[in-house]
Amino acid sequence: MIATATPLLTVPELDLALWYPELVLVATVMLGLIGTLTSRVNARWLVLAGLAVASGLAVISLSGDGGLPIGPHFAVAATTPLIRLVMILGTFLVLLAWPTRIQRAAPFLTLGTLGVVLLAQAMTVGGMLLAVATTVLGGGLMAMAASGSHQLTRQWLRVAVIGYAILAFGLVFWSGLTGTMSFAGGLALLTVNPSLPALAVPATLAVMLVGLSLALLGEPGRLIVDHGEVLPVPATAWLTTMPPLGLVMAVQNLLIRTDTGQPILEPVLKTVILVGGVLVLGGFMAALAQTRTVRRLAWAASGQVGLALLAVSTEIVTWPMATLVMLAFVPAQLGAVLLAGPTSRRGESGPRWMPALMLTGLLLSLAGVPPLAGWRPRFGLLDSLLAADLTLVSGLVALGVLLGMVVYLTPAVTIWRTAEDAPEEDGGGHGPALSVAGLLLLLSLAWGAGLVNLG
Amino acid sequence: MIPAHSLSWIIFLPLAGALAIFWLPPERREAIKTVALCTAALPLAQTLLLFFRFDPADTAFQFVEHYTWVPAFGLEYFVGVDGLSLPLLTLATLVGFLALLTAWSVEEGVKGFFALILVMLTGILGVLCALDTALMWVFWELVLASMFFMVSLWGGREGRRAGRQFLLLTQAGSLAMLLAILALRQHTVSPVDGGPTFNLLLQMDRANHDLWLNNPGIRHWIFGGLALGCGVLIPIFPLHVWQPRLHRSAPLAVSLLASALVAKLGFYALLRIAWPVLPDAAAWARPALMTLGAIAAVHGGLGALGRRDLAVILGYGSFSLLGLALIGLGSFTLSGMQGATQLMVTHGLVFAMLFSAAGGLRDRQGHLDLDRWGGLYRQAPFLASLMSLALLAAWGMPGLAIYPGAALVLAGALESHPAAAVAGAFGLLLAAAWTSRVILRICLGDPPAGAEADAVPAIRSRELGVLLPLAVLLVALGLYPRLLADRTSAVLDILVKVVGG
Repeated sequence: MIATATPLLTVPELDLALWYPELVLVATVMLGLIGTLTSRVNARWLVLAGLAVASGLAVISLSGDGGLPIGPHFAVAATTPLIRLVMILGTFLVLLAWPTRIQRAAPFLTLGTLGVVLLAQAMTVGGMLLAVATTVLGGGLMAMAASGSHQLTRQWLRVAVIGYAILAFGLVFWSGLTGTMSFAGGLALLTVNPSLPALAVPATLAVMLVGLSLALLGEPGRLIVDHGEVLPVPATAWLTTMPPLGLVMAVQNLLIRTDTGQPILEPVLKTVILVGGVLVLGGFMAALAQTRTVRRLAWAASGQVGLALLAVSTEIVTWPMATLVMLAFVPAQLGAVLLAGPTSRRGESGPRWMPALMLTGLLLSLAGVPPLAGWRPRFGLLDSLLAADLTLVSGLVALGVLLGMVVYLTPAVTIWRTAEDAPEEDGGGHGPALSVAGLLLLLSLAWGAGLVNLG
Repeated sequence: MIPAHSLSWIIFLPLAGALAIFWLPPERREAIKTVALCTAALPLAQTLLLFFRFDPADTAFQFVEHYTWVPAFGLEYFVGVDGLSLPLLTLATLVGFLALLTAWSVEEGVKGFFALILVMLTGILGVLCALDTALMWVFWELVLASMFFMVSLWGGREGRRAGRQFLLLTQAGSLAMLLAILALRQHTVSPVDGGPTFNLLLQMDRANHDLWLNNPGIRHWIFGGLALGCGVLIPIFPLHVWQPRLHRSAPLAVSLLASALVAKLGFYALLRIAWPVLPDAAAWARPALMTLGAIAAVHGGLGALGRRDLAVILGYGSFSLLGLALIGLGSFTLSGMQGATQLMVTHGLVFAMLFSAAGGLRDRQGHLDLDRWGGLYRQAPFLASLMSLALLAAWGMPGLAIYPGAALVLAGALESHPAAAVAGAFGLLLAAAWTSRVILRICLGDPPAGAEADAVPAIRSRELGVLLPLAVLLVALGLYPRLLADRTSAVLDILVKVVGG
């Protein structure tokens, strides 16, 4: 609709009509900050309204053509409008489930969302640096504003700065190696440049991936593991969902859109397999060691990202499955953390059967049990990998699927077994959080059972 | 008159019952149990109708329903039954119904327990009717997930360990099976649209297999994946390690379902997918399967002899008899395979009866320790008689249900693999030993010292409702095995020609 209409405001190489949701997000952040600072308006409601408008515009942009460059550093690919919608709508739902008293975090939450939305579109070194910085800044400030913990602040700064510095180093080196800021152009140059040292390309890529993982997974992960007591549940839900989704999209942008028809260098793909494998095994194994549900979910998010990266690592064969893995993961993870969060400090969800049942359903979806959403991308991924005779990656994915089953199904039992120890205050199982989680569960069920088709 | 979409009704009515249960308040236990029983009774009635309307002379699948499900992956909702699946379908609906009656004494978490049994029943019925391998796997997962929850949540502390062990082993097997199913799909070309297909009927025709799949090594690997998935569930030695702990800890309704139905799914999937789609690989694996069957027959019998807990004894006894069925499957003779399919059904009936009776004993005294039981004939003569009848059937007494199947298996194995037949016969001998031990310890003799004469109440009407129909079926199938054989022989005849030729 908007994507194909005559733009209202056009500057050379920048079609703002395609960027209406992002513009609304920017305006929402600014108005929200003003509202928070002046205390004249309720920032939470203002941000909710802004996110609703941005979601509406993102829905409209779904019917656009995609594939159009909308600036020197960002581009819209075929899947980007859907991912953008998921990110904005997901944030809207997180805020909807958020207790009213924590409204000052809302503008920063929107800033973080703007960051991940940009990350899904970043096509150059500059674009990625800007997007990651925005994500990390927004997410970290949101966590601090919501928790008020100084210790958390120091830790966030330490991890985020280290991760960001590693990423920046890798990106700058990549740029020097290829002689261009563009990922697509850089890959094309690498493909035809035989004079590069053998290890230069994979080593640089590995540095970039480590930096990205630290900044987008490590930082939220540390916050949750070390400060789970003070971090509000919706903040945890956002931190364990949106940055991982942004990370997968960023890696896709790094590798996929070569636009040259040339195959991607094998060492590049092997590096992604290595990083994906480490994330799958490390994430799920670390999750297995956790006794509290939210911590387990936080660690397991890395495992899910690893599965998606393994899908990306096969170049063209299975990368749509990477998007599907994350599309199935996001609603289930959001809902599961929203429900499990407040009670995870004791490791169970409480005696009420409705939240426990819903949490079980969401965990089953995360585990990939049919007919909930999680099984379809796993099924499709393994199918595509076997079709392409990619034995190593198939094996890693199969192992990840098995570990994921154990990771998610164990707490699915625990929440029923220890109901008698339920904490007195159990906000996550009530009202908005319950409604949001129920909605997300229905979505998972409808998609998994083949009643609706996403992606 | 057969209603339209009969199989879909049969498959999904239990699931609808599970959903209905969740709207009932948890304190209305009797209502929950009644709703569950009613929703299990309807598929039973409908399956019985199909059983007698089924045309045994027609080797094609009957009551077929075929729709597109997830076009992106080529998944189809494709269900139907033939002479192989219909007897098992009837068994499943009957045993599912009886399992609900056996679970009547459960008072903790009634809502969840009964709902899970119904969900599991939907999974089992779906596996037995599916003609699309991916659809079969989806139902398969449903069975495993619901079983895991039942064992972990209602099995106490030991149940948690049993659940974890069950989850790890069965999911590893299920994953291997999924990979095999996907590999089969990728390399089977549908003559309809030229694309890959999960359609089992098309996969059965080797003309649709491409060059890659026609490589013998690849076929062996795929067969291995299927066998691993099925072997964990049967269970085949040494993949049976989850079974003793499960029987020791899980409620007896769960043990009943595991032994009488879930184990059959492994056999069924082997016969439904592995044998007809990969007959050459099945022939290649045949010595190994028969050896494992022989080990199971003997090991199970010895295991049953060396235990004191009746639930564990029954678990090992079941394992031993299933080893005999595996020998029959591996014999590749008509009599051997006929015997194995008969055993699948009759084993389900016998062990449903035994686990149900054991449940009654546990309800009375809270334990199943052989050393602390005795004199059941004096205290509850009707219960003891019915239990003894099932135990006699379990060792293969002529005139009772296990005998025709066991005799056919041994005859078939003698034709093709005499050593396995000897091991199978030894397994039956051990079965005679452990069943006599149970009869002697529990039913005969004197009540344990200090027990009052009326310490064990007589048989209850609900127990009678479960045990009596099963007893009638044990005698009927023992005296008139053609009731099953007539329905299975046509399709088995074809299968034997496929694997033998």
